[in-house]
Amino acid sequence: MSRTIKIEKSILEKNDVVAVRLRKMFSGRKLAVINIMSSPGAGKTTLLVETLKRLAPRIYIGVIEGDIATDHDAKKVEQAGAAWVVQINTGGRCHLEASMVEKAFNGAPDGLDLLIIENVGNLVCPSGFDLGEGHRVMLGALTEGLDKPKKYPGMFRACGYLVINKTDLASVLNIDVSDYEKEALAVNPDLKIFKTSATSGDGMDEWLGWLESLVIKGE
Amino acid sequence: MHELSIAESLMSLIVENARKSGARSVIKVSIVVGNLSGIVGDSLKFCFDEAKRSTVAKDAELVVDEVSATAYCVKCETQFAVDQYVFNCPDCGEVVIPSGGQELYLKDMEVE
Ligand SMILES: Nc1nc2c(ncn2[C@@H]2O[C@H](COP(=O)(O)OP(=O)(O)OP(=O)(O)O)[C@@H](O)[C@H]2O)c(=O)[nH]1
Ligand SMILES: [Mg+2]
Ligand SMILES: [Zn+2]
Repeated sequence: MSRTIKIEKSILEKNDVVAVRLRKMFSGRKLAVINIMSSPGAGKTTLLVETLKRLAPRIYIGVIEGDIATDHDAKKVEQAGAAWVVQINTGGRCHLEASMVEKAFNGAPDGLDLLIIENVGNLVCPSGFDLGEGHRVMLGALTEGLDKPKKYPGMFRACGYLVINKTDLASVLNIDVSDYEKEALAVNPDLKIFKTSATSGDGMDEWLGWLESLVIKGE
Repeated sequence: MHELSIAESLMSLIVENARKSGARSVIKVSIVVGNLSGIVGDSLKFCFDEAKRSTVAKDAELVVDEVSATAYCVKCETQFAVDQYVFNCPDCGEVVIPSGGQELYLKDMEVE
């Protein structure tokens, strides 16, 4: 005889359980943690490298690099002055999961002030997987065009912060940064927005100021 | 690719609940997927058929209940099903922000 059992549980429950555990652990250590997500090539690693060059002399920063394969990004980040870098090769998976972060963080040194997680370049999958981070940051590059917020609303809504990068190319692309801003805010009116050129350094100060404020608060 | 991860998460939830309830086999699995969840029902079914092999759910059928986000226009006082996050009322053009559509959960399963 068959019977039906009621479950009513989120399919991502398992990930969420680990994420909750991680979040507790991070806050116990007063460690600020951000999860940076974007499409491939939007400039996550470049922004990270420029951030490290400026902050690493004063702040003890750890980095978790999520990549489908290769350790190129991890090497760049290490050279830029990260206090601790660990590479997670997802073996083909298009996103990081909380259990991967938990395992990777086992090897972290004491006393980190800030942990930055560079997620796998992808605008769909990472948004569903909570990593226990304090803040989710989406990085959008002007070169991707203005339609990304409406095409990938899940990601824009999963994040509290948006960095609009590659602003140095605005005139070449004939795109107004404020138009990108408008499109993003239409999908998620609560987004806090930074505008940067990771290559020229434009707009980095606001971004760095925000990171430092997280370190001071320890969250 | 994403659906494969989801199928694996779903599988571990199924196996765990089958064990808890002492089921010998799972016959049917019903899940609810929102139309804004980013998950495509058909590719999830395909991945589920891969993931279920040699598990307690190896013969299980996956039933996907796709639900829509809805939007309510205050001007026209009408409710609409939508498949977008930002949406204009078809009658008056008013911009409304839909709710729901992000569901992704295991509703129930039939076991024996
Ligand atoms: N013009 C311009 N180019 C940039 C900027 N930021 C990054 N780039 C370039 O964009 C390319 C990709 O940058 P990455 O930092 O590797 O991008 P990513 O997001 O880490 O890429 P994945 O890790 O592969 O997803 C590189 O050639 C960078 O030099 C910017 O602000 N302006
Ligand atoms: Mg990178
Ligand atoms: Zn209306």
